[in-house]
Amino acid sequence: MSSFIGGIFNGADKVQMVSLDQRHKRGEIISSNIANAETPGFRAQGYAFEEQLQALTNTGKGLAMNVSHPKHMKNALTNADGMLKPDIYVRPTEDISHDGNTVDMDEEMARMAQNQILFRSAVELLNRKVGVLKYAINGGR
Amino acid sequence: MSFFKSMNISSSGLAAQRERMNILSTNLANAQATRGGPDGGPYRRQDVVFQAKPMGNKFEDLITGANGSHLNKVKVTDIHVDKSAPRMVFDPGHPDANKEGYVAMPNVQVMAEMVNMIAATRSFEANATAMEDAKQMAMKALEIGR
Amino acid sequence: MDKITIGSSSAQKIFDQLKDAQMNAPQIGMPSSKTEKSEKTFASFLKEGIAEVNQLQKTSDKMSTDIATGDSENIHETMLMATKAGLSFNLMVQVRNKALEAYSEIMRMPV
Repeated sequence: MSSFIGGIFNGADKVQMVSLDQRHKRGEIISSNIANAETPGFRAQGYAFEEQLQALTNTGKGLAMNVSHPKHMKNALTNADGMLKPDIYVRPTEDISHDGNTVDMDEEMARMAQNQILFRSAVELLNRKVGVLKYAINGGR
Repeated sequence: MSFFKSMNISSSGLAAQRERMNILSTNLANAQATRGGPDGGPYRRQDVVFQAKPMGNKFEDLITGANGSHLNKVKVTDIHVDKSAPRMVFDPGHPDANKEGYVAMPNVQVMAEMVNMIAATRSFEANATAMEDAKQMAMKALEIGR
Repeated sequence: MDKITIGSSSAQKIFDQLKDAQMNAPQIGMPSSKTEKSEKTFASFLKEGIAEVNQLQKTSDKMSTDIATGDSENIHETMLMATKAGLSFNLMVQVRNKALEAYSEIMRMPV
């Protein structure tokens, strides 16, 4: 029972926790793109996890997961890292420089900034939730 | 509405200014090149052509025109070769001199290119500042209610 | 309440008057079956308040999930909603504390 509901953190917090890990991995991919900005023949890579996360949380435009057995977990977020199979793909682009390198430094910097902002927002939201829980545990004193 | 759109727009501006800088450097470096241009003649100076492209690479955005159809990225669509006549410089000892002793030098004016370079640098800095400011705003938004 | 009969008739009258007064006195803190439909009891205030706080928490959770899955990029509104949810939760906890204090103080009162 505890593994299904997950203790005092609810589903939304689990989504945030999973997203932290995924954004960290995305940051790594972006760093590798930036480091290889001059490598001939290097194709810029992307890291996609958002659609899978939507599908797992049954929110947004994702489809709900069908389960064949009632004991199979519908909400797989407790083992989310095992269930998420994110996509490392080669990012399609129109500009290929003469040596076959497709890394656009400015686009990578913009993506890195966006990733960092979303990472920090996840951390901040988790902090708020922990603060609320602490307040409740202390009974407001 | 979203900070990320403005970051994408700024990054497209940065990329465009970088390309412009590349072309300007090419012009400056080849200001004395008497061979290698089109038709085997001297180098002809090149210019970038910018075009505003509306944002919204999602299909539904293009259809409904919603969420920022007034937002535009910038893109370099063309490298325009300046076809004006080359400068003729009197230098009979030059291997490329014609029979009157004149050499056809590229139509690159160094001062004009330097001024363009300064403009491109300022533009680049402005775009970088815009992106940085968008990021700062987002960071500040994270501190609401802290 | 059962009709209790007391021996002497004057004592009975006084008892009846006391009983009427008790029935009609404002019932603080206790849901009364005699409350009119237009009156609201403190308990219903509390219930509504808890429901509102719960709704705010749910909305804030939905918005933060949207940020994590990339559905929405509205950071400032999410943060505002998180602040509202947190503050209203704090307020509810304090109201609960005060209500408990008031209740125990009333219970301490010698009748």
